[in-house]
Amino acid sequence: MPRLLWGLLPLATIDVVLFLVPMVIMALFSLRFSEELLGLTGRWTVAHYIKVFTSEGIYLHILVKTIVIALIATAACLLVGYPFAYFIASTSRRWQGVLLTLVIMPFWTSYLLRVYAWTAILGDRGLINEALHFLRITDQPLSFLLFNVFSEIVVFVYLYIPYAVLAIYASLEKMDRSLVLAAMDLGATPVQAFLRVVLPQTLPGVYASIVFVFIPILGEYVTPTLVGGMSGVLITNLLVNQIHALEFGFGAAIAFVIATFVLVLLLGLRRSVDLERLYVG
Amino acid sequence: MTDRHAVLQSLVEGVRGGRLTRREFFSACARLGIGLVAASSVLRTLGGGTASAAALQGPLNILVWDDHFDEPELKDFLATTGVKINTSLFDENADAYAKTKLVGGRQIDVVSGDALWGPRYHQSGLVDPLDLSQFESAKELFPVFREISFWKVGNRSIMFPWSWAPIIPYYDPRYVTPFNSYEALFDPKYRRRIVMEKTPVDIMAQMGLVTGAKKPYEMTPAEIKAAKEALIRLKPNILTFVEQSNQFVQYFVNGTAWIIANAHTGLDYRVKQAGGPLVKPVYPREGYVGFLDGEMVVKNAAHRNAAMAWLDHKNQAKYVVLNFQKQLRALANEKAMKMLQQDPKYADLVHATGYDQPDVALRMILKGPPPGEGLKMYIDAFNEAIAR
Repeated sequence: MPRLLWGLLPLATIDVVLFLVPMVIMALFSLRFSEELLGLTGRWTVAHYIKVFTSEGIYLHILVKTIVIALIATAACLLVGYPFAYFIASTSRRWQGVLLTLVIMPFWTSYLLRVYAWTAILGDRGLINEALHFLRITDQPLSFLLFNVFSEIVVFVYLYIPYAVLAIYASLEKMDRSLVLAAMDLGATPVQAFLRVVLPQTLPGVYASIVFVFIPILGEYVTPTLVGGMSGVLITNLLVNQIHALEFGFGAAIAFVIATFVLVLLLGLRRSVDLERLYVG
Repeated sequence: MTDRHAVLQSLVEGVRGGRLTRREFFSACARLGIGLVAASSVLRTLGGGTASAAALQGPLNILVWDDHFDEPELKDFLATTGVKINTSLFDENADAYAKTKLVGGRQIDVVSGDALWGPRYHQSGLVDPLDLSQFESAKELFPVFREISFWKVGNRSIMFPWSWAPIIPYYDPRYVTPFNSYEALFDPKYRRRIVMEKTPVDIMAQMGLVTGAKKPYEMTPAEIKAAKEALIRLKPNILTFVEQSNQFVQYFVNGTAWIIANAHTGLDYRVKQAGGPLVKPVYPREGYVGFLDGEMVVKNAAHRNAAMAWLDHKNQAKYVVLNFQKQLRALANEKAMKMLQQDPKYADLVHATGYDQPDVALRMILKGPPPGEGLKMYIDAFNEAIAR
């Protein structure tokens, strides 16, 4: 037993130092007035939380909007990522290596550059508009392609789809394929075999995708800033403005509301599916 | 004084001839009562070598705007003093203020700031005022910038002045009818055609000007509310906010933006240089805000001597000239202005950017932090406007 405890010590230390302590500090900040910059002096208060849920409803409104956008982007990642992962898993080992390399290739480039690249693709003088103009399909650039929720979601899908593909692929790899063949032998159509055999077996991968895609999008700042325009403002944009105004207490309260939502989501997912199944054989 | 000068000369010769190391040079200067900045300044004339690293402790940590330095002076400083400079960039004064307040001189030696933020830094005990007479390069400043009243603390100055410019709208005349009031920005025909730098406090101040606030950085709650309503009204016309003003050029060049609502002067030339259209500046009749910025040395800076040497180094006319050629906006260094006036390529630009009219700098509505709870109210109003 002591040996096990020693073994767990590094992990526990990392958890405490990098997760628990910052969360406690953030909670303390959120419950104090910010007369002093560090927010740890002065009176206790829940005013920051009240402000999150009042303030003309803007923070709540933008939080809900952020969640909806994250949900749409996650759903798009799954819809595109699942067939792609399935395709990879069905190819030979050699091709799987090539295709997986292609999936992770975007990570070789800076995240910031990848987001910027989309302004060159979707912009008024971007690749799409120039192509449409060249083909005489349009005579004016389609300005709705960039600086709105649409472009934001497109970029989110592009940025996060590799996580979805990898998680689903890992799940497909572990799937017992003989069950699919058995289902087909017993008269199941391909759709039935997919819905009743493949999908249930790969649900842990789907849930893992949700965790890897949905949660980081909730905290996205760069993408809405660079391609979201005025309609693509998300909760982190408001949060950062508050931090710039030295409103650490209020900023912490907004962050804590998001963190609580994520925590509830994770607990819900954990109750729904055994995520460990994805990685433990 | 003459004796001291003679000794200094012999010390310089000693370093030149290799009889003295730079460490010995600095020690001797200290014994003579010659300040480190002055000694560094002398040493600068020698060029090369890194032996002074022991005398000037580094690395130097500067929290700075990206248009406040260029690679050549960083490289030269390293070559001359052996001190490496770590640069951290920021976009908002409040951001830099918060960082400085959080980590202080342990992690930041020099911080940039705008006009009225200087007194805020000083009142909060974050910076040490500078004796500008200690700096060789301060002699190259326009006299008006050596005597800025709101930066004065006794004989010292909170900041070493660097640059200034009005912040005004620019428009592309191919699409926009000439105008002289902020009201034109609200015209529905400019829907999604305006780009702005994301500076919430300054945007609120600008909206304050639109709605008639007399002191746009000290607005009353009612004035803030009116400014917020103006921003909400303007929102459909704003395509996006950019994080740094140097991003404006591309928006004009690729035709995405028809109006940039808060650029500093010189944008027309930068756009032209980049192959874009000849955009026009507007000096709105309601007035305009402007920036006058500089560098401050953080209190208890871990590398104070290097910080002082750096300020003296970077503010030399030769580097200021390079900076003007790149940024095309007015600076505080008079010697650099005169050098640029001699260059036919830049003589007109010097006048067009107001570089030869330094008195204009102090007639603008200068950027500063709203007092008391004001900052919070400005940001709340900004958030409420953009979140709708």
